[in-house]
Amino acid sequence: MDDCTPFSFCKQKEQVRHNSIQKQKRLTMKINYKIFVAIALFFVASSCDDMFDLDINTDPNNPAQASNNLLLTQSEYTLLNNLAGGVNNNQMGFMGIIGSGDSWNLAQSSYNGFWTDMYTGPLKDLDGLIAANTGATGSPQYLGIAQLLKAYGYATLVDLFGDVPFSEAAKGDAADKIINAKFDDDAAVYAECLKLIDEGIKNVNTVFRPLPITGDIIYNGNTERWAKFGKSLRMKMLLNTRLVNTNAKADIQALITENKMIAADVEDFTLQFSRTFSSAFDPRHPWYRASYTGPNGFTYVLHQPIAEMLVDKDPRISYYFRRQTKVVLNQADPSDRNTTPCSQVATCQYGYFVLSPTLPQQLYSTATLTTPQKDYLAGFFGRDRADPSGVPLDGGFRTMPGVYPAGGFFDVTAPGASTTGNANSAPGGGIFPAITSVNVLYYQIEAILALDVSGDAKALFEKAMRDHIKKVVDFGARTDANSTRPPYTRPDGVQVDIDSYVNLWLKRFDDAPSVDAKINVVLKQLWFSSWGNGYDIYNAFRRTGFPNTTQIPILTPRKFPLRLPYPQDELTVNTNAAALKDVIYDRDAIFWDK
Amino acid sequence: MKKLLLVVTLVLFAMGISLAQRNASGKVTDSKGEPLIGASILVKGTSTGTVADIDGNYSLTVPSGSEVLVVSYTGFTTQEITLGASNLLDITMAESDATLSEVLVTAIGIQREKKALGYAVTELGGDQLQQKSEPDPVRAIAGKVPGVSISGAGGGPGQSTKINIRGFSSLTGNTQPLFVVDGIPFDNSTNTSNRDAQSSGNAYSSRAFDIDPNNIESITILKGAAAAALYGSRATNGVVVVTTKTGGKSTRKGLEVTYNSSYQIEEVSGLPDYQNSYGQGSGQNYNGGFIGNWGAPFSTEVDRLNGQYGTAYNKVIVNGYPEGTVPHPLVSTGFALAQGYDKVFPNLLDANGRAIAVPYRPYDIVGGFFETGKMWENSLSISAGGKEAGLNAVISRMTNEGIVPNAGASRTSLSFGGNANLANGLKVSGNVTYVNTTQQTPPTAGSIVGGNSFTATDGSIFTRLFFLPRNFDLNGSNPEGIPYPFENPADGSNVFYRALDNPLWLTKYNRYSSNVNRVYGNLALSYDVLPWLNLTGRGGINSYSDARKSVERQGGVADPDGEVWTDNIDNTEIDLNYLATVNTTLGENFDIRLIGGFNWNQRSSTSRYVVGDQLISIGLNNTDATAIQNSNESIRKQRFYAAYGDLQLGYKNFAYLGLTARNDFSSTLPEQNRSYFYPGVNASLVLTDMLGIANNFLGYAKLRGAWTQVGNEASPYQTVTNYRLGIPFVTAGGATRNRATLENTLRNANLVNELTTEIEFGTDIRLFKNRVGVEVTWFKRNSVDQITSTQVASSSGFSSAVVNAGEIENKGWEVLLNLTPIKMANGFEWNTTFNFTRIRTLVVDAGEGREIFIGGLTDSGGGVIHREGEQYGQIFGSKNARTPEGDILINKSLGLTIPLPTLEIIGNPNPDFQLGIINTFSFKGFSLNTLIDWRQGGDMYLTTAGALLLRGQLKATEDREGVRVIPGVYGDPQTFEPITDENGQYIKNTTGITAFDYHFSDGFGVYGADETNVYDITNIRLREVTLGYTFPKKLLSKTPIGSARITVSGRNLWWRAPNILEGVNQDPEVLAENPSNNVQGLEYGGYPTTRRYGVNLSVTF
Repeated sequence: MDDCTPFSFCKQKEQVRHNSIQKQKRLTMKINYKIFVAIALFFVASSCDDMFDLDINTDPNNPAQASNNLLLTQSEYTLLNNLAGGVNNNQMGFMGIIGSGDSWNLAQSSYNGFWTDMYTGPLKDLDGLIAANTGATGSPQYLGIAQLLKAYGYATLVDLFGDVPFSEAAKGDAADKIINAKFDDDAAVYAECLKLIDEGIKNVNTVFRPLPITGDIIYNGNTERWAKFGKSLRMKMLLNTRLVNTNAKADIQALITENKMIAADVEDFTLQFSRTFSSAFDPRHPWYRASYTGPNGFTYVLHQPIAEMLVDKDPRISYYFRRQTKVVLNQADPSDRNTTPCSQVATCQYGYFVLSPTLPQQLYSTATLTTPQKDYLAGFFGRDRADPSGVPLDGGFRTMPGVYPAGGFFDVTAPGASTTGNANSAPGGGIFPAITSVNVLYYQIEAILALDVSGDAKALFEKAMRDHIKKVVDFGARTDANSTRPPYTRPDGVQVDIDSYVNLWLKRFDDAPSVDAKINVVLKQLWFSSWGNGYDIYNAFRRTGFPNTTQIPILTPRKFPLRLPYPQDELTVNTNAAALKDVIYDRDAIFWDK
Repeated sequence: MKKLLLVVTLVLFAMGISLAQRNASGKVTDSKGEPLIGASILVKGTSTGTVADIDGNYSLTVPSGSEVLVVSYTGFTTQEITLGASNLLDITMAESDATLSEVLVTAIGIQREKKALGYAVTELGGDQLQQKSEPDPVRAIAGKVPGVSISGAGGGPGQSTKINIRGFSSLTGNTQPLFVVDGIPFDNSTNTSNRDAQSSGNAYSSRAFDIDPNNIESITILKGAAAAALYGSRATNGVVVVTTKTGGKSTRKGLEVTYNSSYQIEEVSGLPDYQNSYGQGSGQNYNGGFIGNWGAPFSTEVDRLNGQYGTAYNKVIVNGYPEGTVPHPLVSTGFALAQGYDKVFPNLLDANGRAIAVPYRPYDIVGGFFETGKMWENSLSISAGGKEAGLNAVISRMTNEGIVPNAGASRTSLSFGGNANLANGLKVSGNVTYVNTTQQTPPTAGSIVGGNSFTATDGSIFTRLFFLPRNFDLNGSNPEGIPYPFENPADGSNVFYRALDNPLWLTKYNRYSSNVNRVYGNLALSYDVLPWLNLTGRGGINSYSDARKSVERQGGVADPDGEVWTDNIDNTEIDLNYLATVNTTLGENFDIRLIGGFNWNQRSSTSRYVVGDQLISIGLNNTDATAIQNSNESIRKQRFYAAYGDLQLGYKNFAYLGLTARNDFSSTLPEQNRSYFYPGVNASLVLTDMLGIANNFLGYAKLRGAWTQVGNEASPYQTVTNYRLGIPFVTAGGATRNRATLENTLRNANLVNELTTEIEFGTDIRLFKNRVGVEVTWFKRNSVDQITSTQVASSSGFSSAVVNAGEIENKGWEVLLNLTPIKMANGFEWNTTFNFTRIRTLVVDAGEGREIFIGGLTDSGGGVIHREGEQYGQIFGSKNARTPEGDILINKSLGLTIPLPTLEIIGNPNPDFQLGIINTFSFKGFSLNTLIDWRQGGDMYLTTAGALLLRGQLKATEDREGVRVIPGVYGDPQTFEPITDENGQYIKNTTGITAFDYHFSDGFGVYGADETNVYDITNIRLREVTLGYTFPKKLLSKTPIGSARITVSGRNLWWRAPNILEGVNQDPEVLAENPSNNVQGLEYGGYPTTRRYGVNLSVTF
C-alpha cells in the first residue's frame, strides 16, 4: 500500500482502535480519556505500514539500463543525423555549393549545438556500448561496431576542430568521473582512432559469441560490410594525413593492395532516413525537413554548380534539383524586382539565370529564349556565392533539393508539392552518403596522383564518375517513380547522356597539363559529386587547395575557415579549454593541413 | 482577530482552581459599546481568570481575599479594577496607543502576539485583496508588502504570476514561496506541458489562481526563515499563509449573508506609436511581400517628402495602378501566386485577371485586433454561528474574457467550513473547497520576431501582430470594403501575405484550453488534555486534475498537418501535523510555551500526454482523429516526515525569546543524507514597556532579531542517471527500431540537503499617538549547498550535472512606514503607507564553472546567466566591439557595427529598489484608495523594441531620408581591434548608411548586437485605485440590508517607463518564461498587459 491516506484506507483501523479505547476507558475511568483519543489521532495515520518508507526515489519513468540494440540504433541515428545536418551544409557552403556559411563568417556560438549533440549523444552512448560489451560476457560484434563508429565520430571531429577531448571524453558518469575533459592533440586522437579501427575490424570479424545484431540501421548486422567500412575509413584518414605522415603512402598502398574497402552500392556507409515522422520526432532527411515541410526552409543552392551542370549537361541535374516555378519575375514591379536574385548587389557573376545576359548564349547559343527554355531557366533560382542581400519572400521560387539525396522529387515531376501546406507529399527517405564506394575511388585517385601509389588514375576517375551517376540515378529510380534515367531530354530540349558527360570530363583530365592540374579536375568533379556530403570536398580543399575554380565570394568578412571555431559553451565551461580560446578558425590550421 | 484571540486566551485561562467566594460578572466593551470578545479578566496575583465571550460577557469566580481584577485586551490599555460591593461589573476599555499587540497567524497556524515576534511578518486582510479589479489573488498583493516582488506573466486571462519573497534563494531551482491554505500546503506550480505552441511557457496559469480572493479572510506573508522555519524544507523561499473565510474560525453569531458583485472591463495597456509615412518594402521601394516598413512613402506623404528632402518619390507606387494604390497583396505577390490565392479569391481580381487596387495607406492594425475584455465576478458568503459551533459557506464565480478574441478564464468555487466545541471537550474544525478553473486562449505565447523565429512558437498571434506592414489591412477596415481574407473559403486553411500564420486565422481556429478541478480540505481536532497541555492534530488533502488540450488546425504554416494534444496532470498532496502545546508560567514573570510537533507530507503527481499529429478529420479535435500519436506518462512522488519543536519564553510581557528546531527525513535525498536538522532562535524586546517610557511622542518601540536555518530537500529522482527511451526510428523499409540514450543530466548519488541561514534585525516604532508607524527590517540570507543543475562541458558526455554547489546571498532592507497626516474631528482621515524594498541578491559561488547559464534566449543565442560575484541572473548576450576608450568600432566597408563573437553580461535585471505607496482618504462613507508602484532600475532585453526598430515601425524612425553615420571609429572585423592611421590615431567613421541598414542588420535593431536592445525598465505605475461609498446604516434601516458599499476600482490605469525607447510603449512588467523558470530580464513579445476598471457592489443581509 503505497497510497495510504489517513482519511480513506485507514478508516477501519481507526474503528478498531477506537473500540479498544472504549474498553480501556471503562477500566481506567480516572485517567483522562482525552489523552487516548489524542494519541489515537496520531495512530490513525501512522498505522499505515509504509508511511515512513522513504525508499521511493527510484525513477518510475526511465530505465536504469538499456540493451545493445536500443543503444546501437540511437547511436547510429544520432551520429549520422548530426553529421548530415547544419555542419554538413556549412562545409558545402564553405566550398561554394550552397548558401550556408558561404561567406565564411562563423561565430563562436555556431557549433555549440553540434558539439553538444555529438558528445552527449552518440559518443557517450557508443562508449556505453563499448563498456557493456567489453569483457567475457560482451558481444564482440556490438563492440566492434561501436568501436568503428566511435573512430568515425572522433576522426570527423578532429577534421573539423583539430584538438578535441578524446581520452577523457564522455566520462562524466565513470567511476572516476571526469567533468573537465582535457583536449587531446589532434594527431594523437587520429592515431587512437586508427587503433580503434583495427580493434573494431578484429572484433566484428570475431566468430565467437555471435549474437544476432539487431538495431543496426546502417548495415543491418552485416559484419563483413562493417569491416569494409573500417578499411575505407582508414583509407580516408590516411589520405587526410598524407602531408604529415611519412607512412601514409605505404599504408595506403597496403589498403589498396588488400582491396577490402567499400566497393559496391550495398556496402556504402550511408544512413537512410525515415519516411515516418511525428511532431515530436521527425527523422526524415534534414534537407527534406527543411524544404518539403516548411516555408523558406532550405537555404539557397548557389548558382555556380547549377550553371556549370547546365552547361556540362550533367545528367544528375534533374536528380539534384527540383525547380518550383516557371514565373519570370517582372522587373517593372518593385515587389518582383526586389525578389529577383542579385537585384540588391551589383557584383553577381551569375545573377538571375532567366534574364542573364550571358547564360542563354552559353547554353543555347542565342539570347532569345524559347518558352520551354524560359520556363526551365526560371526555375533555377538560387544565389551567387555569399550574396549579402536581405532575404526576400522567395520561398515559392527557390530551387529545392531534388530526389537525390534528400528523398524529394525528380525535378518538377510532381507539381503542386510546394513549400507550404500541402507538403509531405514527396517520397521521403533520403540518405546521407557518408562514405560511399565513390568516395573510396576518389581517395585512390588522389593517392595515385599525389603519392604515386599504384593504379590507373584515369580509369578510376571514369569509374568514379559513372558509379556516382549510377548511384544517383538508381536512388532516384528507387525513390521517385517519375525519375527518368539518362539519356533523357531536359525540359529545355537539351539531351543529356552519361557517355558524353564522362567523356567531356575525361578530356579535361587528359588536357590537364600537370599532376596538380589533374588533381584540380578530379576534385572539381568530386565537388559536383558532393551534393549532400560536404566532408570530403572540404577536407580535400584544405589538403590540396583544389578545386581552385570556384566563384570568389561576393562578401567575405572573414577568411576561409581552416577549421571550425570551438564552441563558446565548451570554452567557457571546460576548465581545460583555456588554451584553445586563442585558436582562430580562419588562421590556425589543424595538424594534417600543411 | 478578536475571535482568534478568544481561542488563545481560552486555552491560556481555561482552568482555574475553584475556591468559590464570590461571582463577578459583566460585559467588556470598547468606548463605542462594541463587545470585546476574548478580553482577558484575571484576578490579580493569581492564575484565576476568564475571557469575555462572543457578546463580551464574562463571569468569574473570585477567591476570597482577592478584589482586584486585571482586564486586558489587545490594543487597549490594561486596567486594574477593584471590585466594589456589586458583583455586576461592566468594564469599558480605552484604546491604547500601542496597537501593535495584535495576534498574527504564524507558522503551522500558531497564533502569536505580534510584539512577541522576533521577525517581520506582514498580514493583509481580505479587504485589501477583494474588489480591486484583480481576479488573481497573488497579483492583488503587489506593492502591498515590503520584501515581496510580484510580476504577472502578461495580460492574458489566468496567465501565471511570479512571486518572490526576499529575493531569490535558489540558482536553478524553485524560488517561489510555499503557499499554505488553511494549514495545508497548496500547490502553486505553473505546470508546463511538453508539447505545444505555448511552449515558451508563460501562457499557463499558476495554480494559486485557484484561490478565490472573495473567500480570503487574510493573507500572512512569512518572509524570513525565522518566520517560516517550522514549515521545513519548502519554507526556504518564504511562505504565503492564506486563511480562507471558510477555514477561519470566526463566525458571527446569528446569520450573515454577504453578496459581492463586480463588473470590469479591460483594455490593452499600451500600444507602440507607429509611423504613418512609409509602407511595406525595403530601400524606400514598395514590396508587397516584405514584413518591414522600409518601403515607399504613402502617396499622401509624397509631396511633403519631395518638398522637404528633394526626393523624387512618385505617388504611383506600382506601374499600372492608380496613385495611392497597390495591387491587392493576397493575389499579387510571388508568394500569394505560388499559393494559388488568385484561384481562391477571384473577387480580388479585376476583369483582366489582375489584382484589384487597394489603398496604400496606414491602418490601425494592432488596435483594431484587440477587443475590450470583460470580467464579471459574483460571490455569496454565508456565515452562521452559535455559542459552540459556527459555519461558513462561500460560493463564487468569476469569468474573464481577454482582449485577445477567444481568450478567457473562469473560476467557480464552492467552499464550506465550520468549527465546533463539542461537549466532551473536543474542538473540531475543518473545511472543504471545490474549485473549477478554466482557461482558454488562442496561441499567444511570447514569441520572437526577427526574421528567424527563435522560440518554437511560430504559430503565435504575437509572432507578427505588432510588426505587420503598416498598409496590410489585417482587419479589413478599409472604407472601400475590400476584404483581406484570412482563410481559404474552400478548406479553411490559412491565408496570409507570406508564409506565416495569420493572427486572425490563429484566433479563430487554434486553441489551448485547460480545465482544472481542484478539491482541498482539512480537518483539525484539538483537546485540552490538561490545563496546560493541548494536543492538536490536523490533516488535509489538496488535489487537482488539470485536463489540457491544444488544437492546431491543419492548413496552417507552423503546423501544416495539424496537431491535437492532450495533457492530463494530476497532483495530490497530503499533509499531517500533530502538535503538543504546553503553556505554563514560571514564577510570576515568565511565560513558557513549548510546542512539540510531528509533520508528515506526501506529494505525488502524474502527467499523461498524448500528441496526435496530422489531423484526419477537420473539426474533430480529438487525438483519435490523428494519423500518428505519441504518448508519455510521467509520475513523481516524494515524501518526508519531520519532528520539530518550538519554545517561546516571555518575560514580563516585554522580553521574548523563541527557539525552534526541526529535523526532516526526506525521500528525495540519498539514504545516508536523508536526515537533516536545522535550528533557529529569535528574540523581541519591547523597549517602551521595559523602560516604562511610553509617552505621546514615542508610544511604542520594539527591537527584534533572529537567526535561523532552513534545510531543503531535492526534487525527486536526482540521485541516479537513467536512460531515456526514444520514439522509435522507422526505417525507410518500414522496420521499427527502438532507441534509448543515457540522459544528458548527470545525477548525483551523494546529494545533501540545501541549507539557508538567515539573520534579521528590525525595529517597530510608533510615534505621535500612532500617527506615525515605522517597521524597519534588515536581513541577510545565505543559501549554500544549492542543489542545482549546473552546466558542464558537454565533452563530459553530459550537458548538466546535479550538484550541491554555490551560494547565494540575499541582503536587504524592508521598510514599512505608516502615516496618518490628517485625522480630523469631522471624520476626514488620510492614511498613507510606504512599502520600501531594497534587495541585493549576490551569486557568491556559482559552483565549479564559476557561472551557470540558466536559459532564455537573445537573438545571438545568449540568455540569462549567474556569474560569481555578480547579482542574480544577469542578461548575457552579444556586444559591439569597442576601442579601449569605449568608441564603437565600425566596419569600414559596411558602415555598420562589429558584433563580438563572444557573449558578455549586457544588463542587470535586478531593480535598485521597489516602493509601493498607498494613500487612503476617508470621509464619512467615502473612501479613496490608491496604490502607486515605483520600480527603480533593472534592465530588460526587449525583443519587441528591437523588432519594431528592425521593421521600421516606430514613429521614432519615421525620419529616414538621407544617410546616417554611426558615431565610432573604424575597426577590423576580423580582429575586433581599431584600425589606426599612419599616426597611430583612430579613424573616425564616415561611412554613410541608410536608415534601413542602420536598423536592419548589424546596427540598431533586433539583428544588431544584443546590448542595443537592453533598456532600463524603471517604471512607475498607478497600480490600483478604488473609490468607495458605504451607505449609512440609517438609510438601510428599513430594508433587510445590513450594510451596502459600492466602489469603482481600476488597475494598472497608468504607467510610464521613461528609459525605454520612446514610442515602444511596452509594459515591461511581463515574464518571458513561466514563473518556475529563473530566467528574468528578457521579453519575447507576448501577451501585452492590460488595464482594468469597473464597479463593485457589496451588500450584507
